[in-house]
Amino acid sequence: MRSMEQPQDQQDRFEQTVLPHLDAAYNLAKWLIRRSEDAEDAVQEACLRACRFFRGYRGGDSKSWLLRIVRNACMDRLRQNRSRDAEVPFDEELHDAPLPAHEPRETLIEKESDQLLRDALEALAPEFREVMVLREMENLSYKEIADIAGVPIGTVMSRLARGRERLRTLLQARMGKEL
Amino acid sequence: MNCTEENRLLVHAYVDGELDAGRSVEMETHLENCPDCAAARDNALSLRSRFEAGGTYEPAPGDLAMRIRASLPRRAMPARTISRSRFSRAYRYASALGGAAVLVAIFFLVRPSGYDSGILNDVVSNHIRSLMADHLTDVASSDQHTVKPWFIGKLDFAPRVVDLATQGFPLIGGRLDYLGGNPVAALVYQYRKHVINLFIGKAKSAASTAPSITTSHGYAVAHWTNGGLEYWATTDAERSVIVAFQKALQGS
Repeated sequence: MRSMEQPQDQQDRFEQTVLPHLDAAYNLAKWLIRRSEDAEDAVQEACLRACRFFRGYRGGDSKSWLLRIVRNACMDRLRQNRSRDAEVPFDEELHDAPLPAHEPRETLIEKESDQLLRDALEALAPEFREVMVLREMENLSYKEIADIAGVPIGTVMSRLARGRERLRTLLQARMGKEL
Repeated sequence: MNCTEENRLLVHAYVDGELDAGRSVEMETHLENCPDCAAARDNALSLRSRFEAGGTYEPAPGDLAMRIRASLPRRAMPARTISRSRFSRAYRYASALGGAAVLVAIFFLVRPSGYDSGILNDVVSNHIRSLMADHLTDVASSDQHTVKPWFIGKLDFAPRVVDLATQGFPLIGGRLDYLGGNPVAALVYQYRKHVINLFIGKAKSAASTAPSITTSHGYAVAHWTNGGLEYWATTDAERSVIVAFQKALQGS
């Protein structure tokens, strides 16, 4: 029956599979890529890829399906940028982003808790940031996160453990500077 | 005191609800005796509540959906195709006329077994449509004394309207909608960043049925009858949310 589907019907079905998850897609892209224009481009590109792959979509969790495509599109971009900037490739055990540069005391005191958290999240390596976003902002299960990120569930758990420890260190350091 | 590497990781699985009942209980016992793991748990919970404040979520630009639609490869519109209900056909005409709100009819190819899949399809399609167009509510109010009377004259039954804000599901408003060609009340609730649509129609019989939860196209749908009314609730949040919502509604 699927082979008899009109092109417009497939288009419609694709749109209503994908568009409800646009907020989640953009949120993930923005947290991975940070620059708005690049994040929008990545989401757009992901939607085009999803459109191309749509024949292979057999139903089921459409959000995870889309987010996996978005995540891969973002990581491709980051890899391109990294090789351009000649950064050290990600190493699970070693990679820790440096603390943000010291800011004037007055600015720190005025910053709200949200902004502190955003800064700390931004300071995480993308692989840690990714699992934090999917767990704490999208409330996805370990299995769903593993499917999206393309890593084993154990890796999701260990990245969450390290990500949370790292956030605590970053937040305490920032708070410490206020005192 | 240094704990095991395994516990150091499992604390997080515990906090995230990924451990089964038995191991959760073991972990809880362990946490009473291990300050390191308890500190990790406290940190995880503290971070969670900061995230839940919602200030870190990056909302998509308002026109992103439109721009993405525009960028998708377009194919020629075929001659009018057969759609599922009068309602969706009307919206198909509206979009063909180039209306600002582009609404789509839904063609379901996979039929869940043992359920009125037609109604199930309508529930999910109505939910999706409500999110896309500027058509979430026609009466936007958290006050049940404003929302409930709004339906007088529009429905030949009185829907039960309650605000569940204290249980984490604030009422956003209501609108009229259709399931299987019949008019129903659509009450819109919010759970964090998610929308819950609760459809209420007249039940075929006075009997009450226990709630059943199915999944259709990734959306959890709860269905039950009570007090002469038939209910469907759906959301794009996880299944546990719709279960909790149904319980909150029942207990109110």
